Amino acid sequence: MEKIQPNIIYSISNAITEELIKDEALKVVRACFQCGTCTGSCPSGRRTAIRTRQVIRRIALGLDEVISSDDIWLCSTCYTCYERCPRSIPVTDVIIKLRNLATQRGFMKPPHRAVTHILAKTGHGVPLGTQKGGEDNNWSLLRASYGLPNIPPTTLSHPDAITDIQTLMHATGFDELVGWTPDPQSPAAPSSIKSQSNKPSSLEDTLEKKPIEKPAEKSVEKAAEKAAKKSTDKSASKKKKSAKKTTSKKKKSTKKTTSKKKKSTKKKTSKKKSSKKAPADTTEKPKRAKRRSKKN
Amino acid sequence: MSKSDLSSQPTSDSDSSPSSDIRVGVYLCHCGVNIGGVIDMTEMVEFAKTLPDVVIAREYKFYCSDNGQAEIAKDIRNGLVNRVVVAACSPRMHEPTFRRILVEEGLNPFYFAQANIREHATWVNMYDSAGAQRISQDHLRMQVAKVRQLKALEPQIVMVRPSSLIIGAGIAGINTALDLGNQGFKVYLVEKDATIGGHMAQLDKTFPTMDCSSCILTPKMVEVSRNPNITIMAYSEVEKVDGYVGNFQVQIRRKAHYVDQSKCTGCGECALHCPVVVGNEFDLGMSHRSAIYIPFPQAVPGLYTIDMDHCIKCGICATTTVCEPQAINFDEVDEIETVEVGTIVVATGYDTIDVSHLGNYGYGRFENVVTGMEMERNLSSTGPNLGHPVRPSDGQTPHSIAWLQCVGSRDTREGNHPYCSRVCCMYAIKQARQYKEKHPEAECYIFYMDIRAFGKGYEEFYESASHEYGIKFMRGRLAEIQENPDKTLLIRGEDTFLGQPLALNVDMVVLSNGVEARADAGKIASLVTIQRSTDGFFMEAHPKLRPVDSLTDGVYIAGVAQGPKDIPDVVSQAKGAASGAAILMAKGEVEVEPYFSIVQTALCAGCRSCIGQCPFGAITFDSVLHVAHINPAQCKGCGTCVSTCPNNAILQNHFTTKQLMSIIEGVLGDDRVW
Ligand SMILES: Cc1cc2nc3c(=O)[nH]c(=O)nc-3n(C[C@H](O)[C@H](O)[C@H](O)COP(=O)(O)OP(=O)(O)OC[C@H]3O[C@@H](n4cnc5c(N)ncnc54)[C@H](O)[C@@H]3O)c2cc1C
Ligand code: SF4
Ligand code: SF4
Repeated sequence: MEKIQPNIIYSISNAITEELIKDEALKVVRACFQCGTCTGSCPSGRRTAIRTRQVIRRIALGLDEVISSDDIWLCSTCYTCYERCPRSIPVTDVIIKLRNLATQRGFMKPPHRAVTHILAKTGHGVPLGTQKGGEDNNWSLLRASYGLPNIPPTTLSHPDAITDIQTLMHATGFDELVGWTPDPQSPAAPSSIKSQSNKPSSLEDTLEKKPIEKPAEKSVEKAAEKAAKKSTDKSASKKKKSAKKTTSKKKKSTKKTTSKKKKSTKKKTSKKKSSKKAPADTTEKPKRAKRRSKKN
Repeated sequence: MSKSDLSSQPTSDSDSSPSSDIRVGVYLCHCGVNIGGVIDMTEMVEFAKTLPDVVIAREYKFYCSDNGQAEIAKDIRNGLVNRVVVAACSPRMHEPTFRRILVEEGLNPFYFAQANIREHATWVNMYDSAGAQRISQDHLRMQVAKVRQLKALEPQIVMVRPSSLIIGAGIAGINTALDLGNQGFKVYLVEKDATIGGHMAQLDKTFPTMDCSSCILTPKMVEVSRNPNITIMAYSEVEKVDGYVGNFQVQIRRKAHYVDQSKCTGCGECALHCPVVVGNEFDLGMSHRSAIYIPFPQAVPGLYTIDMDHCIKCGICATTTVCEPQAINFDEVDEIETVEVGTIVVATGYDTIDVSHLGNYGYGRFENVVTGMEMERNLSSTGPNLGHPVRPSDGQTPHSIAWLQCVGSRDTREGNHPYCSRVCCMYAIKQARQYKEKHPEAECYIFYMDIRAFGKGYEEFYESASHEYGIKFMRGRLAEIQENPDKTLLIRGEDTFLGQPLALNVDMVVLSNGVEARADAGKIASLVTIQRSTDGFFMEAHPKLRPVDSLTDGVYIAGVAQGPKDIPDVVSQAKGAASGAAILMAKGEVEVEPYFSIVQTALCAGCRSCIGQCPFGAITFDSVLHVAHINPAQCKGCGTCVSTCPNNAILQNHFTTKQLMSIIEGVLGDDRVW
């Protein structure tokens, strides 16, 4: 999709803003007085181009171009701005919602699209595979060290559930949105189920109501949490969760899990091991920063 | 002591060189570290002791404290000193404090002098101790020299009439009038227009509570008209003010209504028959009235006036079929009425800033560019559009409206004002909210540099304007407005939030113009001899501690006449002014410092050069004795006449030539004693 170019003659359509503030809790985005606390707080903004205040400004002003901007994808959903906004704007929730609206309109980043394809194929956003040469990846050894079965009770243990996932993707139109077509050899038979299901109007509704992988993931997470002894990252996220209103709790925890997963994918490519986030982060960050400053 | 006793004041400079029994006590105050931290106080004490007639010199941390005062009192009581010099802060701060000690100890309070070594020496030479010390010594020497020459004086007491003149009947004047009238004082409420009410009558709603303006104002207007102590003098102007605190004589021009106000019943039949159609000023020309009119239906007094600039004297209204009580009188002439009052309150309000000189905004050229007050009338349920605001060019409902803030305010260019008008931010938010209430689908933009929402409930009002109403706050002052062929407007500015130039098409622009001093403020200032600050508004005696007093005794200021403010502040200030005036009138008399000048009749040649020079009109010519005479109560002691008199015939109490010369000798270090 092409970018919507901002024009000097402002065309203030409000279309996206109106869609966004259908959620009463997000209506307060219009109260933003552009203090800049969010941009100043944003850990991503110190390294990337995201300018949180400007994202909020565009949406408050009714400039639809915001959904085609890269900025909304650069948010790490750390919730720092959310905590600090003096006008009590749930900034991070606004950004997440903007991502939903963007995706629905086809504004996606290729890596995100790729992740959905992996999901469709494997039932995992972050696949748990073997290393080259068929050697067992470290994750299963790690599981075993905690006394868990080598293979989690997900699609890995139940390969036929992949079909269910694909069916759901098809029923919700998500496959079309992300441009995924089942490979002809695939056992999935979406067309047969298609006739039975009413295609829901909102994609997220379905996704939110049926957190497919949730039970399985939870147990994985718990185990990982036990293992990570002094993970500051985690204690912060715990605090956050308890601070959030119960109504939005579900939504957020789901989203967070996804983003965490994404993170760990990245790490895998750059580092050999570990699902332990905090230590990995701290070793990685300074390196990146150094590299950048050299370039500059 | 009454005015007739004034003759017992010293009338000559020639008597007594310092008598032999002068014992000066010098008290050097540290003022914490303000003085004590800069100069050497022990050395100052030693220096003080070397000055003539100084018998005691002491230093202390704070002489204004109870303990400090007690020390001075003790020395007087023990007969050690009979003249006091305190070297400390400005006499404007503590002169009354120290004088009171003298009175309490049975000494004449005018045997006191204060050397201001804080403001004049240590504050301005904080990093130069030696310099500050030298300057402090000079000041001390001057005051010791002076105190040795001072004469005992008696404060003057003048009677205060229990009546008040209030100029201007906006919400400020109305509130002052009610407060004074309800306390039993006679009030003359002079208003130049045909109705009382001022600008507030033109407002639709008032921020931040959104009360309907006329619903809260008209009961007050009615209350004024019903109060037996208040005489409303509408359609009148003050012509001349004579006299002084407690005793002002005021001449008021009662402009001819050409309708006998005692006969008019306010039925309005005449207006229906009058063939003349002119723009109604109350609606800023957006509606019509006839030549015989009342400004708006709830006007007080609700009696008719003929606008002779537009009347064609057809005589239709004068026929008995139209005006049954036969109130019309084309031959009526202006009358001058004189009233005597003890106090005066100036509450003449403001003019809105004329914005037509700002060519880049096109006011006056583009039909859809209007001012804040025009929008106010446009929105008003009693306005020309009965509460259905329209786009002036075609009478259609506008979809998008932009307000532009600080028009004419916060602008140092000529023709504009550097100050903030303090009401336009809030009224723009109010108007935008009103419009959104009527048309939720409309787009309202407010272009601003800073939003000044400082009052109680104002920030919340501002927050909800964006949050609940979706009004869009755009930071950046518009640079220009252009008219599209269909009369909509292309506005250009910078979106400083996104850091890019901005252009936007809107249906209407409201220039939120601020307030400025009345065009005739200079005339009013000279009528009642009050000052104006650089912004043109009337000047208060002290910006913090005396915000409703003028520098002229008995004259108070209230409302926007003193400076931009909104209704809550206007009403508070009006109550303050009423209280100030009431204190004087309730006491019935006032003490004034006896610093007036006296003509030494033996020396006066009757040349009259002084008479025209006096800025307070205190000098008259006694044609029997053929000498000038100064009215002590009216004299402010400025000394202009003293220096004017070619014969040196005028003597000013407490600042006699001899006293002033002794100060000069003192600072020059000449020990010659007068
Ligand atoms: C567009 C606009 C909207 C506003 N909205 C609000 C609001 O919502 N809420 C709020 O709190 N404030 C608002 N304000 C401010 C408000 O109008 C003022 O605070 C208030 O009206 C000032 O009252 P005043 O009595 O001091 O002056 P004025 O209302 O100006 O009254 C002065 C009176 O003195 C008379 N006068 C003047 N000169 C003479 C003379 N020489 N002799 C005799 N009489 C004289 C005048 O005719 C007038 O009647 C608004 C202002 C503007 C411009
Ligand atoms: S912190 Fe809140 S109010 Fe401040 S700019 Fe960001 S979103 Fe707006
Ligand atoms: S009140 Fe607001 S609009 Fe008016 S001058 Fe002050 S800052 Fe500008």
